[in-house]
Amino acid sequence: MQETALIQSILNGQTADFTQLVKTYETAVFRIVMGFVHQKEDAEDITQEVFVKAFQSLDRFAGRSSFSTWLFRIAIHTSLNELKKRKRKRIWSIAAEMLQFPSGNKDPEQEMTGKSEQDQIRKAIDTLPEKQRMAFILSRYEELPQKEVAQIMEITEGAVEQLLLRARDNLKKTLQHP
Amino acid sequence: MKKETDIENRIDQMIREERNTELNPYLSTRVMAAIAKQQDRKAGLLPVFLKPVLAMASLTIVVWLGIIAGSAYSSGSTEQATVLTNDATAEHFAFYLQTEKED
Repeated sequence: MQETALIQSILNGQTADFTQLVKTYETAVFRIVMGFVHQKEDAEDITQEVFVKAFQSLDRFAGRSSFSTWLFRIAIHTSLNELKKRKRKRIWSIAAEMLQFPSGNKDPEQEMTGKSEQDQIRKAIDTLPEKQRMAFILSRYEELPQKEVAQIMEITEGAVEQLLLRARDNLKKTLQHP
Repeated sequence: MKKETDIENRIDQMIREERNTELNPYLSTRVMAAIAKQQDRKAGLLPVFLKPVLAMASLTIVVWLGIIAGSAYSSGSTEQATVLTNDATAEHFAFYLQTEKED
């Protein structure tokens, strides 16, 4: 069934048809969300929230952009909102991290070094300015072409290119002098 | 200072790892269950909204029935007769026995 027809069918009360849309886009949405939260369980919860929100507001989808563009926008906004909520809970997560111990499978020192390196990269991505981060995640995590990133962010392709260049420079600067 | 290519490689590797994270195969089932739950909640919202209205209607009916019952009671009242008797003026018991007259 064509996407437009599928959406129409869902709006006409065939709720079960929404499963097809979920199955088509769940991986893409999950990857985008992963780019923001870097944690599987959280990313799955947010992905679920994204689809529920999309279902609830499906009648407001005007079809001016493609369904994926519209859905990815919801994914970005939901992820950013979640990160704002997390900021408030940061103290608790720091306490939880302090209580975690490294597993005995690898050399603890090596594991800690590897983990801290990855953490540094994650932190560097997380500290990018919001628009640079959006462009970077859409382009690198979901490997979307600049044209599609531009449509999602409602900016020009040139602006996306600039954002990506600045994001790359900022990441390098942060990681060269951690 | 770390080499630029090294940094880029490490970023690529980290992104590749996160991209390859396996997604829960039952996510679509979870999503559909969450949607169904929300729809049920929406359907249940109407009675919740109607609860105070129903409570007020019940109260009005009870008050109205009370007024009706009260009115019915006052209009259907029965006459009562009270007999005041004075024991001192009551006839003597011996009168009924009539023993004194026979003597």
